Amino acid sequence: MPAAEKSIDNSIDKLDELVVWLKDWLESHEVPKSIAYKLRFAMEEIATNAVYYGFPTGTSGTVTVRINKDTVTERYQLDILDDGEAFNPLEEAPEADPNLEMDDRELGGLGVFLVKNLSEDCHYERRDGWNRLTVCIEAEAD
Amino acid sequence: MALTIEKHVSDGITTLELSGDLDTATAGELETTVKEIIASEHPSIIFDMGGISYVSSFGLRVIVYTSKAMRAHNDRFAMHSIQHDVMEILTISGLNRLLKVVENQDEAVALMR
Repeated sequence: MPAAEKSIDNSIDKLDELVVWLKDWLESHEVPKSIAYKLRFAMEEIATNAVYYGFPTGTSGTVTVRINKDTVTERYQLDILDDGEAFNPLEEAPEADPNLEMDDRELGGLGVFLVKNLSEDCHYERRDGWNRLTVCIEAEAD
Repeated sequence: MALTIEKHVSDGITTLELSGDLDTATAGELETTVKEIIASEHPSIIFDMGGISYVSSFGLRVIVYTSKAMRAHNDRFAMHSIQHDVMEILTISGLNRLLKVVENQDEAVALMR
């Protein structure tokens, strides 16, 4: 199965194009619902953070998403790339604590924590001016 | 998929029957609706989540916002009919034990009394 790829400008208005593209890919490849949920959640979280926070105000840039199914490992691999400022969300995003009581919680901050927990593996690299976050999710439902 | 919000008011309880996606693009609509209800005199809010197949972290943010805001109104906020994949997100986040999550509308209404 060849990898599919979609790029957008770093504009909030363009994020929906990524969601529509990914949903079409997931449907056309008959990805089971619960796995499709995880892939979409990871893509939306990382791409949204990149567009909202990854670029200095007023600068243009690109967010690219690739998806592929590795037929050897039976995993979906999702790569989210952006040419914004160097940022490793796996290390630098504030750590969420699921044991906190409601009064002690921030409104947000659960996204990266959930991506880590929903995936089998995720890793980050910075190369040639691009951030790349890779998320691997098992192709078989639990 | 867009978010549809149908508002039903009965015995002073506002039920929001939600369907579609609660995501980055749509979470703001729900937050606006919730703020209007909270501005009323004695707010009680139920989210009927039966038609919601996807909640992003922006969607969770609105749920946490609603729960926190309703602390000032005797916690009169409950959710029901949550689909399996959405429940998994709430469970990993530790929110399932902090929110009033029940099976159906009758149980949610009972919590408001």
